[in-house]
Amino acid sequence: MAVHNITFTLNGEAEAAVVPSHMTLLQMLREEIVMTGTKNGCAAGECGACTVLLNGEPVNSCLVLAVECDGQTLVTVEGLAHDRQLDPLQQALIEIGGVQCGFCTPGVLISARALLDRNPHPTKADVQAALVGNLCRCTGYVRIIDGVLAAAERA
Amino acid sequence: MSLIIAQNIKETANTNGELRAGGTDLQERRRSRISAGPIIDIRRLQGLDQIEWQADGSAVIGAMVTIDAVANDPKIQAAYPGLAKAAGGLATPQIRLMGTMGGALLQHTRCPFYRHPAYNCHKNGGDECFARDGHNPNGVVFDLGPCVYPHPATLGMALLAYEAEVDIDGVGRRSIDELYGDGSDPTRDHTLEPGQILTHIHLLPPIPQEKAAYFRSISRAEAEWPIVECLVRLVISDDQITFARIGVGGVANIPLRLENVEQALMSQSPGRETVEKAAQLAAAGTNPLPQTVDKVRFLVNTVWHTLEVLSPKS
Repeated sequence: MAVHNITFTLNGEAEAAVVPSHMTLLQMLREEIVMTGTKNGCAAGECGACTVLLNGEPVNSCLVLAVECDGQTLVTVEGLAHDRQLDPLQQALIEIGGVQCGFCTPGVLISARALLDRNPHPTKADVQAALVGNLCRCTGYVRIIDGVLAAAERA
Repeated sequence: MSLIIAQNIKETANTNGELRAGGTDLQERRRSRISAGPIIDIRRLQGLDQIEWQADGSAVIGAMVTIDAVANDPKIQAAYPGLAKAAGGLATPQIRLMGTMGGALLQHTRCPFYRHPAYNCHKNGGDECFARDGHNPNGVVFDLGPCVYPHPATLGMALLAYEAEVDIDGVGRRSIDELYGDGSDPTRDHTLEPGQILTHIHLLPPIPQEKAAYFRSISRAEAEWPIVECLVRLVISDDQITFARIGVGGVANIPLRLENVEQALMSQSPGRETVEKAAQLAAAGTNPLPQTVDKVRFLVNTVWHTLEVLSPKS
């Protein structure tokens, strides 16, 4: 089985890994690096629970091969908080009730962070459009969207 | 599994393996074990990731340009508004950021029977279509061949409506019609042979007065495969329709143009009556499956709605 030595930046830190050709980025994060904030939902690119930032863009890590990340920059949900301070998005979702079972939350946070990095003052429609690739079976989305808008207002 | 990172197109054509561009279709098929064997990663091939503009105003889109880049390119939005709308309306932001134009055109059918490892249909070595007699409410309404699952390429439908052509390395220029064939061969989703690479998409010069609309009838607000989708391009001059192109997807195992509806619109005033009469013609020639009879109504209403968006008096 072919393996590859790769290096990349993960949540601001230099990382290295030895990964087989078939390993997905999601598998590498959860099983090799044991960083389990990123969730394995459908593993088919449909639910968005595994969304991470790859060079600043939200991608389904279940559809990316780990070897493709050689030399790239990754951000997972573990990389959102800094200096023991939650990201404003995390804080807003907690306060407004945008989290129920929490399984979709890491992916939602990453998609929302990508939106706010690109568009700090989104409309409700912008938020809805940015989150269509993140399924949530608990909240009905209303409080998630309210939370993202609240975080944008606070920034 | 071996992964070969291709450095040039010639090397790629001579290597045995399945091509990986954005990987959004292929990775799902790897997971379900429909795809096995070597993978050739073509993301490092040079010269395929740009949109180039010609002197006549037309665009040439590299096969590795992402769907998101086409959807959000201001020049594409101005010159080819229907293509930009279709690109921006499919899948999810995550998929559009990774998925490429070439991969979108050449993706495999989304039929759940094809993608289930327990079934060997025409497309993976068997000799029957399990969707024909099985659960098939998403199936075709134009039954063109043994395979009865709709072709998944929204952008194939859009580029058909734009009368685009594609370059295939070592083969030459092919129309979108030629890329997909007539739907009679159930073993394939397109007419490329193994090892052939689609490199560029050529669009015709834009029509300055063109108006375009894209509508996707789906079972949720966004991010779902279409029940029926439609792209309409119209030019209206002095209260007459002088140009019409209509593409539809979700209804046949290849993308289709509705030339009979286009003809019915030509030289007509774009009012409610014209739109309604023309849209009814979308049902002509349909031969639905027992479980897809309702989709004929969806087809007519989707075409009708898309036309209404562009018709100032409807």
